[in-house]
Amino acid sequence: MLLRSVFVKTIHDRRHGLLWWSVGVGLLTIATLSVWPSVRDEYQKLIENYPEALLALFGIERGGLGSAAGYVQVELFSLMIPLLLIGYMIAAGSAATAGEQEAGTLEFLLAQPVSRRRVLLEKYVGLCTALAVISVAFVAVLIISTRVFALDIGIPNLLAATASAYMLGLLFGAVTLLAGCITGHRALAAGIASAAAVAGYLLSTLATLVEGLKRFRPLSPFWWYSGHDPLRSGLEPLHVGLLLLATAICITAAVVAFDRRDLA
Amino acid sequence: MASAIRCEDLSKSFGALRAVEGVSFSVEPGEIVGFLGPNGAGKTTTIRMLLDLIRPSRGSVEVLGANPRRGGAALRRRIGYVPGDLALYNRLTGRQLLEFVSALRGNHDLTAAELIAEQLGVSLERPIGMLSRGNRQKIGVVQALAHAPELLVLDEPTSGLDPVAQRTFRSLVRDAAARGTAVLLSSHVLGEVQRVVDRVAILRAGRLVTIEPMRDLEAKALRVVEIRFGGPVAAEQFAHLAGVRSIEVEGDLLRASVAGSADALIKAASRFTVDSIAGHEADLEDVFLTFYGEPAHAPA
Repeated sequence: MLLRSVFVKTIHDRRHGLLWWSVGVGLLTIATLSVWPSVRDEYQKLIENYPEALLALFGIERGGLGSAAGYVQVELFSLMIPLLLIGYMIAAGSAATAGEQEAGTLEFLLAQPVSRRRVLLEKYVGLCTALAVISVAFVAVLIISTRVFALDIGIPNLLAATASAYMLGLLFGAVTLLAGCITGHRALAAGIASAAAVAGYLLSTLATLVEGLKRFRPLSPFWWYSGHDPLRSGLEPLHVGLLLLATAICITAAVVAFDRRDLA
Repeated sequence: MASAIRCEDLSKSFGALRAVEGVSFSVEPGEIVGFLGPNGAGKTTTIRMLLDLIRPSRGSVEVLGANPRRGGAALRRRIGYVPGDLALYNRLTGRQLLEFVSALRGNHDLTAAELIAEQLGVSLERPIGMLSRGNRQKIGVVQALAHAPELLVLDEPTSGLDPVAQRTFRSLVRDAAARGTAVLLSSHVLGEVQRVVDRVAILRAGRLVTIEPMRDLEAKALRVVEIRFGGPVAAEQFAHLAGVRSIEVEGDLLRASVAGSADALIKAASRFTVDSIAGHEADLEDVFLTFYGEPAHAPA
């Protein structure tokens, strides 16, 4: 691969990891869905016996859980897939600037005739592309598996839920870059972004349990991601808009922080 | 023609630490200036301000007529830089790295880079992480020189280079200067740069101690002259000569330390039969160390 830009180099640096992440997410999906034919009858009863708190923790509400969509929501989209996509973006995002700064190569890169803004944006677009590869691999395996294991979920719904998870990943990638541009430390950037993700997740889940928290639910990115139930109802402009707007704000702030700061 | 580098009262503090304090100097096109000082004297901090990697706390800096921050990418296109703590992408080969930086410069021709790499004797086909420190340094030098920049900023570029590569490096830098490139060449060892620089700037504890032509610095240096006579001589016969700092005599061999002109010593020696004279290269480290001051002054 000819490294003709920071964007291409970002993809080049991630190519092996991309393959393994895609394979891993694909295998997890196959493993999860392959048990559906044997558990479909038991599943309804199992879920009904779960305590309310546990259901909330998995981001699901009672009713219709025995359906294939409920199963996929609980087993994949409530936690596992957003966790993996966010995890990938936090790992890759913290390496992008803070990691390069710790390795010392950022000094070399920024001394080249390329602006800091461009370096940051090309790296981010590179990460978004990498995440898209993983997401596409995931949704392809998901669509095929639902057909093979007889889960009756429409393809537009699977695409909508995956797209929503992808955008949640984009947001936390932007949060990680912002933290990395401000701190310059890889572990710290990853820690801040992880803490933000856990806080958002807990807020979204606890708000379904605790009445007093309910009005704060719209503040959580996880609510933006799944509050409109994209697996059953498709994407909703307000939620998509909030995810993209928050991402744009974080990236803009990251560019400003990166541009202003001493590379020391 | 504008100076390639012009610093006025340039200062940089990191919290309470004054890393660079009131430094003013300039480097002209075609000139090679040595930037000397012990580790921690502020050389790298000054250099990083030239490249807009860090921003001054006070004072001004102009590079090729532009402020480094406002000049941005377009200005850096005209600069070649070897960082002090050179860290390159270890998983790329030298060729991939050069392709990458050429592309960032909007130029895809590696002919010049290949030629310099060949002169320095470094392979472009191996991953950089597998190269020795000296060979990694050579890759750093290649990427700085390949695009024939108007300004070369080289922070300890010869660290880790073997003597043959150092000589090649010096001739590459001289050739660049002959084509009009301005060069700022930092080192903490004068001996590494004395044969190539026109002027020397000496930094100590963040301040510029002196900037003067190499020739003037050499004139202050002690030179050891050895004269073998046709027969034994006595030290007293050479006492109190102008420029002679110390005299040692062993039978027919006289060893003198001379500062500046050796004229008085040679005239005195001419009264006797002289078999041979050997002059050693000026030892500038002594001069250098007087500028550096006591070791206790050296910052950590």
